[in-house]
Amino acid sequence: MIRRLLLTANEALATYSHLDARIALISATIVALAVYLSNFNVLISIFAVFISLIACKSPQKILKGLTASIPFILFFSISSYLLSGDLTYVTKTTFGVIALISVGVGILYGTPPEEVVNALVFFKVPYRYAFLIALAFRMFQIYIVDLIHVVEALKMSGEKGLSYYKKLMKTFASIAVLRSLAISEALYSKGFGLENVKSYSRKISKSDVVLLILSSFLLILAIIE
Amino acid sequence: MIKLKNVSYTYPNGVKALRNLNLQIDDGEKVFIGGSTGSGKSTLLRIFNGLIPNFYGGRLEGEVLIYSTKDKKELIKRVYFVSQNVEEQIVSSVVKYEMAFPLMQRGYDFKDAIEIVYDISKKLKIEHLLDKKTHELSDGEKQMILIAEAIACEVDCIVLDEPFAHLHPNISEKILKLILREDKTVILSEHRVEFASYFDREFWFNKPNFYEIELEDGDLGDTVVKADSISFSYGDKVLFDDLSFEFRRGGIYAIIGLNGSGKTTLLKLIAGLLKPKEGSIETKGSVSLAFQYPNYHFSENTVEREVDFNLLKMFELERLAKRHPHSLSSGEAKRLSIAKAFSGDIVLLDEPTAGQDYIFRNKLLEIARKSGKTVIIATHDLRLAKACDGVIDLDKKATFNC
Repeated sequence: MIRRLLLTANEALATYSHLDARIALISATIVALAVYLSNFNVLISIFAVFISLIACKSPQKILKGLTASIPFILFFSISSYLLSGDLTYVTKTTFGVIALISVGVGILYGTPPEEVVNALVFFKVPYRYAFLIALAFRMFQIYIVDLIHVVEALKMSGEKGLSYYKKLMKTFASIAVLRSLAISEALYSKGFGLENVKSYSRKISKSDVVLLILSSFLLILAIIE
Repeated sequence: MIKLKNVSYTYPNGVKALRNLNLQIDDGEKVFIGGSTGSGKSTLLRIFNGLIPNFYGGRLEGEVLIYSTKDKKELIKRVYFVSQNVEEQIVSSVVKYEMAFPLMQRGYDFKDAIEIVYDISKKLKIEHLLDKKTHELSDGEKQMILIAEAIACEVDCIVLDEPFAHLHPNISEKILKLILREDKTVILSEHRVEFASYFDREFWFNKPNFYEIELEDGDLGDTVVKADSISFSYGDKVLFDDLSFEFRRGGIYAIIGLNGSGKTTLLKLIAGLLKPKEGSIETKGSVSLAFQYPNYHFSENTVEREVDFNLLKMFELERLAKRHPHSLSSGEAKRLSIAKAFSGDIVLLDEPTAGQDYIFRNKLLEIARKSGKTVIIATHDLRLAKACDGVIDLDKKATFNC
């Protein structure tokens, strides 16, 4: 089950669209803001999912992202119910969370992380901090594969119960540290930070404009609501 | 020119890795560095681009002259280092961004960097990979990308630390010829001594006296692994179709094939971690598996708690008994994971000889034979495979004595 969830998440993160990262960043922020300002209005949330679908052109990808997030969505819904005891509120916020995840997967994760880094540099974020996004993305891919292998190795050794989870955490944490060190070595060797990295501009496409208009429209709708 | 005179190096943890080393490498020279596991090859290579001491710390003594500079930035600009594990060398998600990365760090703007990337890719005939996602590439393709990156940077010297450890010999040879064509200094460390002949000069820490891999004859018992017409695929990619084989008790078998041909998958099928789409695999007795990356297997605080002391002794690891398993060098960690795998009746080893010297290859076969266990080895080491009792060749879809 865990293995399947991890693999699904990895697949969802690995499909890219061709949106301009600057537009994607602005649109994702606007759509998320609209969902929040509308007080998690269900219609606004559904519209946000619709925009995400248009942005990434792949319902499958959003579905994969949502499937991988099921434990989180369930956890969120149950805790909301326990805290509020109000089913209408739980439904609204759950839709809101689904909308935010769709925006994240559909708009932001549809853009290669290197393009997001470039967009951030364009918005004057220092490169060494902006690059952390691309690095985190890459590390996440490595960690997912590592976690799957550690689970398999422990399964082979016949570990069970609490000891299984203790060993899983311990082994995974140690490997994560080793991987980080190795990646740092690779960055050093590749000359990370030798010179200032400049941002570059891409031509804005029709789909970028459509996405921006739709997102702005949703924000206006949320404010009027 | 690179010149090391009476160089010694001690890691921050007190381990002395190099003692009074002397080496001179002229511009454009192609140098092969050989030696047994743990002899100091990787340490030496890390001195060339300043990883030692700038990144690792420790105490570096003696005279180190690399292109007449001690400046950290200048060293990185002139010497490009590629290490053994390709997975840990890739920092971007798309090939073209990965290849442009070191160029952009050297001050090129994106458009110029991409132009150079396209030129180099064309030259190396890898332009079809540029828009691919890096995690979709095979290990061979990843290595090719890393070497293309090094060439694109127009450095004076390319340093490669066992770049072919996980690659099929045919792919390794192709990549090697590609690098040696370059008009730059190339320094490469490798356990596959057959590559030494391609270089202008060899530098040995300790030269092995024999290169042959031999396996004593043994008595094989009843069948302990039986695969009956198994098929397996990842999505549309069919790895095996109607594959049948039998492994006998006490036998040592090899699984060979190009990168991505399904060697690891077959081991996982035998281990029961994956299920065949069609057909069946039966095993008799406990099965243990040592993955390619050894650290997946270590969950204790000391080496002696990971493995029985007799096994440690057999694999000559007893001196490391008190060490933390994750603090071992990659070669030592590999041996420990193999030793751990020998606790099962059927021992599955994924690339056990990658990054190991010839002495260990013979040692492994000797231990495997003496243990009386069934040992199945997925390997790129064709010499090792030839010495085994039986071989499954996934490229030819054929089994020999299996």
